[in-house]
Amino acid sequence: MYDIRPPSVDWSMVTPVVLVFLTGLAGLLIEMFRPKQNNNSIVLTSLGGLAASFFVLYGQLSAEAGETLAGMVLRDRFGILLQMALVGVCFISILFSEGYLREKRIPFGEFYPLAIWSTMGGMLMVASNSLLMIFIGLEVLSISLYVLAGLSRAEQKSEESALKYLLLGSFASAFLLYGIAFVYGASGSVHLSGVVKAWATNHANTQHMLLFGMGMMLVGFGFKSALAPFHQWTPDVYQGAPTNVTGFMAAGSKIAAIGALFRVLSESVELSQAWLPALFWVAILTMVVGNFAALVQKDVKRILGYSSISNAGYILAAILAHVKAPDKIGANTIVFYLFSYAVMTLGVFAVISMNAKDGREGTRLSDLNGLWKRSPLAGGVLIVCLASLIGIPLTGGFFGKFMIFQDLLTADMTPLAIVLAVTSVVSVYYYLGIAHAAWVAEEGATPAESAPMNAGLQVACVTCLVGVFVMGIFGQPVLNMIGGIVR
Amino acid sequence: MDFKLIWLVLGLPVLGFLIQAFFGGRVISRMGAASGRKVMGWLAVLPIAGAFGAAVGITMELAKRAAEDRAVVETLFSWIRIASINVPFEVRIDPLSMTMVLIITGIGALIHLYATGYMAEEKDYSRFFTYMNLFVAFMLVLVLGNNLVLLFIGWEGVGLCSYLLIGFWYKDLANSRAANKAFIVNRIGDWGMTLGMFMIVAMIAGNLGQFQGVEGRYLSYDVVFSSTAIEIFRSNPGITTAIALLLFVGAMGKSAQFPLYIWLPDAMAGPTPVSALIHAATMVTSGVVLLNRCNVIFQLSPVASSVVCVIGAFTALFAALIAFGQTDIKKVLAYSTVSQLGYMFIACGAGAYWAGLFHVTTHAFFKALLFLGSGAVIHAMAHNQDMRNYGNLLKYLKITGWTMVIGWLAISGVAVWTFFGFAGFYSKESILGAAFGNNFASINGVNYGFYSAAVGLLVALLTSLYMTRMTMLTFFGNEERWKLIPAHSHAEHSDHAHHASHAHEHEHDHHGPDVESFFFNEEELALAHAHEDHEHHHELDENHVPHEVPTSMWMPLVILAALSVLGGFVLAQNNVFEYWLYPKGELTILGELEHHPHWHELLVGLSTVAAYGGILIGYLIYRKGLPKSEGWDLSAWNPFRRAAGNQFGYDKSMVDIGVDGGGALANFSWKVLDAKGVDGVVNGLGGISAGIGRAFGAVQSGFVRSYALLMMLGGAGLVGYLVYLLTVAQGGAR
Amino acid sequence: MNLPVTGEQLTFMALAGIAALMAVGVVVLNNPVRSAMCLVVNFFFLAFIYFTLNAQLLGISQILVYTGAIMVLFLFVVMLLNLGGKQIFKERRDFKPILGMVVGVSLFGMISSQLILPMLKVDQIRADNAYGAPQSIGKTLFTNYVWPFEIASVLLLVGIVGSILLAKRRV
Repeated sequence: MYDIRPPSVDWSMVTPVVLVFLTGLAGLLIEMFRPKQNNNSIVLTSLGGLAASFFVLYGQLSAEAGETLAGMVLRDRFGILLQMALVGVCFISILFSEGYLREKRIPFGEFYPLAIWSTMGGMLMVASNSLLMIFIGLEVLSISLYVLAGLSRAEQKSEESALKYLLLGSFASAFLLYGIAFVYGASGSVHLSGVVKAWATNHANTQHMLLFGMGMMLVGFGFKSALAPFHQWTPDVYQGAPTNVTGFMAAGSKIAAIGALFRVLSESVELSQAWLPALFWVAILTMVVGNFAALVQKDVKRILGYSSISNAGYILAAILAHVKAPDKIGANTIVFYLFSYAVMTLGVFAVISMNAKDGREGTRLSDLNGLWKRSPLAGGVLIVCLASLIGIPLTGGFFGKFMIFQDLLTADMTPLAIVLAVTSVVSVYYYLGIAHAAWVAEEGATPAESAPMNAGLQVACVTCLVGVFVMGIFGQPVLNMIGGIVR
Repeated sequence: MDFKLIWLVLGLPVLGFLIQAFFGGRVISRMGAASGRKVMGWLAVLPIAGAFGAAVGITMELAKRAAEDRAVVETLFSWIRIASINVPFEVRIDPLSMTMVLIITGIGALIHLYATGYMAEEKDYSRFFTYMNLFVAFMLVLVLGNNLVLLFIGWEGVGLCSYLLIGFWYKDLANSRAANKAFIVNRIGDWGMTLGMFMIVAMIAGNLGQFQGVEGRYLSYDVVFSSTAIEIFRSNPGITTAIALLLFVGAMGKSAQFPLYIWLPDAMAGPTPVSALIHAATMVTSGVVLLNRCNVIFQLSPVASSVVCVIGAFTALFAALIAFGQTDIKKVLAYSTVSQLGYMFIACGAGAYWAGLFHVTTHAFFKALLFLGSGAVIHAMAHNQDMRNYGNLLKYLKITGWTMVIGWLAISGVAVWTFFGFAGFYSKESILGAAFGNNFASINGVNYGFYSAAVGLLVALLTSLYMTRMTMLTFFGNEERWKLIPAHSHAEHSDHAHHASHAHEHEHDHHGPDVESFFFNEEELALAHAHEDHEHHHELDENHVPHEVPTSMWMPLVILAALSVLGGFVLAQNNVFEYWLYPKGELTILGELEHHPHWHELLVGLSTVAAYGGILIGYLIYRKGLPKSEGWDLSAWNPFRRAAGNQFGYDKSMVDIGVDGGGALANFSWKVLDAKGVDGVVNGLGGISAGIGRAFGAVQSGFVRSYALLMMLGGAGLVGYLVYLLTVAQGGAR
Repeated sequence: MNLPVTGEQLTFMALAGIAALMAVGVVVLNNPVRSAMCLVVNFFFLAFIYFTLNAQLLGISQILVYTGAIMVLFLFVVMLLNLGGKQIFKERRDFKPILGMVVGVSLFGMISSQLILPMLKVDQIRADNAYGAPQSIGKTLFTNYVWPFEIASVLLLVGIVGSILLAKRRV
C-alpha cells in the first residue's frame, strides 16, 4: 500500500524551469534585505539567473526529444526554442523596467519575482503535452500578470485593467478547464496523445465529446492569445497596465499562449477536418478586427494592443497552414515569427516607456511628438521596429510575414493569404501613424516629457534593433538554425 | 563637281547659325552696333549665298545625268542602328529636292540680305539671324533628307524656328500668343503626319520579308516608295487612303489649309522678312513638298486625292473672301498665301504634282516680292500697316512701288494670250488645265478635280480683285490719306503685332531719302540708340514724308521682280519644269496625265477674263481712293465685309472651342475625374476603413459583462460550428 | 417500485438541481451577502455530489477549503465593505442577461443533446474501491502528478505575493 515509486526524472529537462523559479525566489528574498527602493541587486540577480537558464536551454537544443515526470514535461526543439524566447523576453523586459518603474514612482521590488514566475508559467505551458500542466502553467502566467497589470496602484486605469484581466481571464480559464474535463472524459487521460487515440475509436459520442472539449479549450486559448471574438480584453488591459508590463505581456504571454495553442492543435491533426474551417474564420475575423479597429485609436498602447491581436491572427494562420499540410510545412515559420514578433514589440514598448517622468506618463500619440529630438536612438529603434511590424524588407517582420505567405499558399489557403495581405496594408496606416507622431508631427503647446535613456533601456533598445535586423537580413540562416521541426 | 558638295549646302547654314549664336553678341558689343551689325549681317547672308552657289553647281551636275538616273543618295554617317532598323543620316539629291534647295537658298539669301537692312535697329540683331539660319538649315534637312525620320526632324525643326521667329518680339504678349498659336495648330497637323508616317512604317514592317538587299533601311525613300512597297500599298487600299489622308492632315497644318490655317494670319506678328521667307516662300510649301515626295501613295488613292482637291479649292475660296475684309497690308498678303496654297493642293489632288511645285516656285518669287515690298512700305510709313492710311505712295516709293506692281501683275496671272505671261499665269494655267483635264480625283464617278478647278477659276478673279484693291489703295488713288486720318482712328493701329521693342525713331524733321549706306541708314541707327528700349509708336501725322528704303532692301525686290516676270515663262517652255521633276511627265502609277482639257482655248480665255476682269473692277472701285464703305468708320462697312474681316467667325469659334473647351476639359479632369473620382476612391477607401474601425472600436464598450457575453457567444458559436463540421465530416465519410 | 430512473440518478438530480439553483441565485440576487450565501450552499451541495461519487477526500476538502476558508473570506470582505440596504446595486434593464441566458441555454442544449442520453446509459463503475480515499489520492499526487502539485504551490506563492503587493500601504 505504501509502495510509492516516484516517476523517473530527467533533471536536464526540468532544470531550466527550476532555475527560473529559484531566480524569482532569490529576488524575493533579496528584496527583504535590499536598501530602500534600490532594486539594482534584484535586477542583477534576475538577469543573472535568466541568463543561466538561457544557457542551460541552449545546451539542451541538441539533446534528444522526450518526456519526463510521467509525461508532464516534454522536451522537443519547439519547446526549447520557445522557452528560450520567453527567457529572452523576460530578460529584455527587466532591462528597461527598473528605470521605468522608478519614473512612475512604483519601484516595487516584487515586480521582478512576479515577472520571472510569469515567465516560468509560460515555460511550463510550452514544454508540456499534458493538458493539466498547460493549464497550471497558464494559471501561473496569468495570475502573475493580473497582479503586474495592477502595479501602478495610483492610476485608476491600471486597477481597472487588472480587474478586467482577472475577471475575463478567470472566465476564460473556466471554459478551458471545462474543455479539459470533456477531453478527459472522452479520452481518459489528460495527455494530448490520448486525444488522437480517442478520436480513432470512431465512437460518435466520444468524438462529440472531444469536439466539445476542443471548442471550450479554444475559447480559453483564444482568450489568452487574443483571438477574435475573445480579444476584447486586450486593448483595455494593454492600455491600463504599466508600459513595461504591457511589453512583457505582449511578447511573453503571446509566445506562451500561442505555444500552448500550437501544441493542442498539432496533436489534433486527425480531427482537423472538424475544426480547421472554424479556426479559419477565427483567423480571418482576428486579422480584420485587429487591423481595422486600430485605425481610429489615439492611444499608442491601445494601438499596440490591436496590433497584438492582428499578429495573433497572422500566427494562427501560420499554424493552420502547418496543420493543413504537416509534411510540407514545418513549424519553423511559427517559431521564427514569434521570435521576430517578440523582439519588435518589445522594442516599441521599450521606446514608449521613455515617456514616463516624475510619476506621470503620456501614452497618447501626441505625447510621442518630438521623440526623435529627445532621443535619436529611441526614434531610430522605434522606426525600425515599426517597419518590422509593417513588414518592410530587411527586417525580421518582413521575413516572417513572407514565410507565412509562402506557407499559406503552399497549403492552398489562398483566402487567408489574401486577408493577410489586405489587412497588412491596412496596418501600415496606424504603424506609420506612430512613426509620424514620433518623427514628423510638431510638438504642441505643452511638449511631452521623457526621461533620458538609462543604460538598461539603451541596451534593451539596441538588442531589439539588432534582433530585428539579424532576423531580417539573415532570415534564412536563422530559419535553418531553428531547424526543421516537422511534426 | 562632286555630289558630296551637298554637305556644304547643308553645313553652311548650320555654320552660320553657330557663328551667330556664339559670337554674334560678342562681336556686336565689341565692335559697336553699326559695324558689328554690318559684320554679322554679312556673316548671316554669306552662308546662305554660298549654299545657293553650291546647290547651283550640284543641280547642273544632276542635270547632266540621264532623266531616269537623277537620284543620288549621299550618306554622312550611320546614325541609328537598332536591331534590324538602320536609319543613316543620308540626303537624296534628286530634282525635287534640288528645286526646293534652290528656292530655299536663293530666295533665302535675298531675304537675308533684305533683313540686314530691315532689322538694322533691332537690339537682338544676331538672335534674329541665328534663328533665320537655323530655319534654313532645318528646311534643307526637310527637303534633302532621304528617309522619313529626317523628314520629320526637318518638319519639326522648321516648326520650332517658325515659333521662335514669330514670337521674336516676345515682350509683347500678343506676339507670344501668336507664336504659341502657330506652334499648337501645327502640332495638330503633326499628329496626322506622324500617324501617317507610323502607318507607312507599319505597312513596311509587316512585310519585311519582301524587301531584299536594303540593309535594314526601312524608312528610306528608295525603300518606302519602291515598287515592292507600291504593291503592298496597292493591296491595302483602305489603309493607303488612310495614310494619304493623315499625311494630308500634316500638310494642312504646315501649309495652312482649312481648317488649320488660322495660325498664318496671326503669324504676321513676326518681322516681315520672317513672313516672307517662312510664311510665303518656304515653310508653308512643305505640305506640297510632302505630297510630292509621297506622291505614289496619293496616286493609289483617288479618294484621298479628291479630298485634297476639295479642301484646296475651299481654302482658296475662303481665304480669298476673307482678304476682302482686311485693312492690314500684311494680312491681305497672308490670306493671299493661304489662297494660293489652296491652288497648289488642287494641283496635287488632281494628280499634277509638278504643277503644284511649279506654283510653289512662282509663288515663292512673287509672294516674297510682295511681302518684302510691303515691308518696305511699312518701313517707310513709320510701321503703320493699315492700308487706309496709305495712298499714292508710288510718288514717293518708286522702286518699291514698281516692283510691287510687277508682283501684283504676277499674282493676278496677267498674260498676253499664251505668248507671254507673268509668272503666275503659267503656274495657274498648268494647275487649272490639269485639274479640268483629268478625272483622277474622282469618287464614285464624280470628278471633284473638275469642280475644284471651277472654284479655282472663280478664285483667280477674286485674287486679282483683292490684289488690285491692295495695290490701288497703297500706291495709287491721288489721295495721301495719312494726312487725312480722323482723330479717333489714330488709336486704331494694325490689329496684331505692335512692334513694341522695335525702337524706331522718326522725328518730325526728315531729311529726304537718306540712302547713305548699303545696309541701313546711319542716321536712323544713331537716333535709335537714344531710344533703345523706349516703347514708342511713332504717330503717322500730316507731316510725314515716306522715303525709299536702303539698297540692301530694294535690291532683292528688283531681283525678285525680274524673276516674277521671266520665271514662269522660262520654266514653262517645252514643259521643261515638268520633265525636270517627272521624266517625260510620267507618274509612277498614273502614267502621263492630260495637261489641258480639250477646251483649252476656252480655259485660257476664261483665265484672261478673270485676271483682267478683276483688275478692271478693282480699278473702277478704287481709282479714286478709299471708298466710304471701307473707311475708318467701321459702322459704314457692309456686313459681308465686316464678317470677312473677322474670318467669318471661324477663327474665333475655333479658338473658343480650343481654349475654352480645353480649359473645360482640364477643369473637368481636375475637379471631377481627379478630385472626386480618383481622390474620392482613395479617400473613400480610407473613410470606409476608418468607419469599419470605428464600428469595431465601438464594440469595445468597456463593460466587462459585454466582453464576457461576446466571449460566450463566440464560444457557443465555435462549439456549434465544430459540431456542424463534425456532422458534415461524418456524413460525408459515410 | 419501478421508476424510470435509478436511485443514483435521482439523488444526483436532486443534489445537482439545488446546486444549480443556488448558482443561479449567486448571479441573480442583488444583495451580495445573499449571493455569497448561495455560493456557500452551492459548494456544500457540490461536496455532497463528490460524496456520492465516493470521492471523500475531495468532498471534505471542498467543504473545508472552499466553503470554510474561501467563502468565509468572501463573506468577511463583503461584510467589511458593508454593502446592503440602500446601497444595493440596482441595474438598468438590459438585454445582456437575457442574451447571455439564451446563449447559455443553447450551449447547454447543444452539449446535452449529444451527451445526456449516452451518459444516462452508463451503469458500469470503472473506478476501483479505493478511488476517493486519501491514500490513493496521495499516492497519485506524489508520483504521477508531483510536478503539477509543486507548481501549484508556486501558484499559491504568486497569489500571496501578488495580493500583498496590491493591498499593502504605499511604499
